[in-house]
Amino acid sequence: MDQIKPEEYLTRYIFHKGHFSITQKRPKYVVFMPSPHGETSVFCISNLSDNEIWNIGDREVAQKRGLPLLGRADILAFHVFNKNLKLIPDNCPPRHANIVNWPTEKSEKKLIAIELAESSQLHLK
Amino acid sequence: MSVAVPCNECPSYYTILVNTGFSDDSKSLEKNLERQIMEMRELLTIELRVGEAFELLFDVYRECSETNWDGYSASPITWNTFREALQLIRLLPSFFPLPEILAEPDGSIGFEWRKGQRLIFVISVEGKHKINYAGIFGSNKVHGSEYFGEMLPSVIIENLRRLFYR
Repeated sequence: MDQIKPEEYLTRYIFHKGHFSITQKRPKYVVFMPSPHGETSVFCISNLSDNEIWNIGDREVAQKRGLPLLGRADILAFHVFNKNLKLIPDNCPPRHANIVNWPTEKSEKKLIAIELAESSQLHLK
Repeated sequence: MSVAVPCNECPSYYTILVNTGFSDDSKSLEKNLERQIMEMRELLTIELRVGEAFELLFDVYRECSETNWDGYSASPITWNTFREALQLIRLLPSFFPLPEILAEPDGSIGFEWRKGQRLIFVISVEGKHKINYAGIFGSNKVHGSEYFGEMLPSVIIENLRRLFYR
């Protein structure tokens, strides 16, 4: 995976119960907020079955972190590019990429994260 | 630049009266107002709602007070941030719904109000006397930051009004 195209789907795995609303069936904005290192870790899930997507989350993320996987937020890469963010694939593990180029101002990051959450779909495990 | 000003029309859940008057009328007015506020506080529904928010806030603090609580190297919520979030809940005008409370990856505590698709307003505190806010009101967007001291900045109240009453 050298480059991610706008029409490809990404997922952000969720490990915290406060990061999604079961009643409203939506992820909350904090799901997409960058880590203290300035990046949001995602996986490219194009051409994968639902089972394969969950398996990656379990095997590559949940087990390594020792946290139970609760859900995921799927989003079209187009929405990420549309906010002037960049997607840097590192394939470590395979299909992994980071959303980078976040603005420095915290309130602007928040606004972008809200918009990404509004454009994404929640899937619960 | 903007300045935080008290919103006299917006009584918070825990208003503290400050009366600078000396006359008997002023004292009488103060007592009357105090009685009315006490009556309001006694309304079980409000007490329950605020109590519930405090409990939720404490849960968030307890669950997210250690590094990496989200599995993505998140910073812990500090005691200072928790105290500032508590102060914010106390100052929220009682006629707005209580927000959802959540932890952010940099250790901030966020408050989210959502009325529907693309109708959302969020604020956060991080124990540094500052509120960061962002919101989407249909096709309009806002974001910014304000000093947070003794009062809730008027821009926060204005945006909540925009979300719920316009």
